[in-house]
Amino acid sequence: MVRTWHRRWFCLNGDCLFYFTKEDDLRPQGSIFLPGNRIAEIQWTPDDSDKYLFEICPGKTQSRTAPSEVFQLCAGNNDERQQWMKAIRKVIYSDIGGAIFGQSVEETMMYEQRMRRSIPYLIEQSVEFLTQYGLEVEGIFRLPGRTTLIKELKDRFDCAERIVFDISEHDVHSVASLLKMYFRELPESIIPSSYYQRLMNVAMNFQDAKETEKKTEAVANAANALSSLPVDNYLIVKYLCKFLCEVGKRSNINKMTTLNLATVFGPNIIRNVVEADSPELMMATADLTQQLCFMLINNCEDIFIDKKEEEKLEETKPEVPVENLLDFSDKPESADEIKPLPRISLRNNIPGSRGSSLLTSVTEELEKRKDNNILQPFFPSYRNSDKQNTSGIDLLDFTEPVKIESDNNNTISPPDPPKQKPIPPARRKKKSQNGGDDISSSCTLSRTNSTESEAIQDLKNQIEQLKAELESTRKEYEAKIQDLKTNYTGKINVLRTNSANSERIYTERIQTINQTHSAQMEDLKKELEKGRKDRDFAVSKVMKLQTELNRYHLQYGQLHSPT
Amino acid sequence: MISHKIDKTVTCTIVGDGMVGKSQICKTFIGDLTIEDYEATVTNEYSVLTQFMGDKYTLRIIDSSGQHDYKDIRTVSYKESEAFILCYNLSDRDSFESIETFWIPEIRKLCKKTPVILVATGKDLHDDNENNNVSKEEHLSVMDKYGIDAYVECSSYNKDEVNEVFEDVLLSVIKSKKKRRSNILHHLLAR
Repeated sequence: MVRTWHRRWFCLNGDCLFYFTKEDDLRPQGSIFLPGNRIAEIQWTPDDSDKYLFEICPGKTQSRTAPSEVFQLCAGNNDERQQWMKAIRKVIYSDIGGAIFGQSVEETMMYEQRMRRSIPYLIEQSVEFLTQYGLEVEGIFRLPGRTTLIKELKDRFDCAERIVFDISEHDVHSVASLLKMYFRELPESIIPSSYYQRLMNVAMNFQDAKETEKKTEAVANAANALSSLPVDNYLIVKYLCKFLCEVGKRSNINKMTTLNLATVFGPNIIRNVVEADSPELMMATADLTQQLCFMLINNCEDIFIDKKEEEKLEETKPEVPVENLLDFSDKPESADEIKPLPRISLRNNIPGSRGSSLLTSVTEELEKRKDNNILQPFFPSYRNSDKQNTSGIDLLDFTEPVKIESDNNNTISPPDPPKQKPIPPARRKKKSQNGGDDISSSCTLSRTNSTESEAIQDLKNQIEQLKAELESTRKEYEAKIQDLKTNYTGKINVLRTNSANSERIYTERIQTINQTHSAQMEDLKKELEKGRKDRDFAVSKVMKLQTELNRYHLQYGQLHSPT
Repeated sequence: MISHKIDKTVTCTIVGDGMVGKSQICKTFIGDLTIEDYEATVTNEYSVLTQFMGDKYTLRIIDSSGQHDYKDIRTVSYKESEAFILCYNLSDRDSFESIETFWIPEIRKLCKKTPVILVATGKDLHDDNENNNVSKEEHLSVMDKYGIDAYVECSSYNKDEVNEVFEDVLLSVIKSKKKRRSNILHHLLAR
């Protein structure tokens, strides 16, 4: 189909891909308007072994702006191709939730959160599918599945398609590989590389520890380290580890022991991208990575803290969505079922969270936590946002999730088929028992339950209190920061003057040295001149004498030395 | 003593999908007949002294990970490999398809001319009547298409069959060395 290749200079600007005949041309030779197109990699073939091809072709659905041409492009090497494709994909699909492979978690979550998700659709869909069909399959996550199917699925997800896996079409191994691939292709591993060193040390301690106490200590350290992860990452890691733990529990059937899973998942979960992503380093730390994963999976319940509430909620989880998938495969419903869970767990962290039925214990819990000074597990995200945002914004967060949740519940429950009506109330009840106090507060407002409203009032008061406390601590910290600032600026000034002084001294010294040098040079030059003159004089004298001698020779003949 | 030559170390890498039995082949070859307790490999290296056509060779076998995730680690050893043992499982179609879709591209991207030996494992387990099997025509066509040097069917636990694999490795390495040498000679003479 393609006969000759032309070399063109490409430039991606906004929604358009321009191409120029030469790099410094001013007018583009043409342009491709990207939105509405599809982009696909062209498979490697032995005939074109040195070419790295991909194509841009019109999409199926949007015919509005799509050109009818197909552009085949060839990159210099595979990395270049991947980069180009990634960039173009981003333009085409990013706004509609595609291009998720190789996209950072934050960017993906920006879209997913708009869809009221706390975990990317792909991860959740895969995990649910695998929970349903894959837990007892031999070699799950170890067998690679069908490469072509994986690639196809990847492309479809990148094209923002929300695939619902179907056992008749998709085999478990391919889905498992797709999930691994997603993690592998994240620009930064799901546990960011800034945590690498710390977690590797923990893993080393864990590996070396013989006694159970030391192991527990290492586990606690890991929990501590992970608690400061960005919320999105934290939830995803938690979700994944919980699932892998489930897989590991059935190792007598699927033969995938936790260690095996750790080996297979290790480099996908944590990599050291920043310092040196060299294969040698990876090889050297492979066993540590594996050890870390083993620890995370094996102790996921101890590491990911708010386990108890979560566990209770989890009990309901595998049953409900599974049935749903089977019977109705009703997407919004299933989304509703599962989505809130992780969100709750996230928000649970904030107000102590023992639920409305245990109201009295809430305050105790709060105080306890305060005493123990475990602020980090409280606000996984907050520490981050504190650094960037100044004030006010964090406080808003207290109220926002409430709203979101209520919206969520309100908007989604009406379309529920009547059959399922019994489920949501039950769920809701569970939540309120188990400590989704945020949610219950907003849900029950409409239900006018007097005791609960009191509880809400109480909670609100507590929230207020917390807010005040937070405000005061922030002020404290701000004051501290101010202090430190003044302190440091003083120090800096001192240092500056010091350096200015020394600079002056040195410049003076240099000048004097220069002067002496030039004086010496002058002297030496004079001496040299003098010497030269002396020599000239001597030479002229010698010449004179020589001529005189010659004259004498001519006059009196050669002098004979006496024999 | 004097006839001892240095150039008798042959390095080969064993690749293929997870769980086809790569590590078991290595273990059987070095004489360790314990049955692998089902553990995924990251990377492993074996050195074996062996005799072939009257000469003594040191065979260095690099056991790689079948996980596509470990690509970076795996490909480190590709450059120094003089031969590849590419495995698939007879009763696992997916592992055969991966040969074409994953392994050959990965190998050929880095090593254009290194000989490849195709090994079908699980001979003892496979059942001719199953339709999941890979037929003879299929593997022949793959061999043709990608210029694969030899094909061996074996059971990972059968020492003789495994030995045959490594004999083929040595044979193809020697052949390719000769070829390269004569190519260089031709090149020089042509000038």
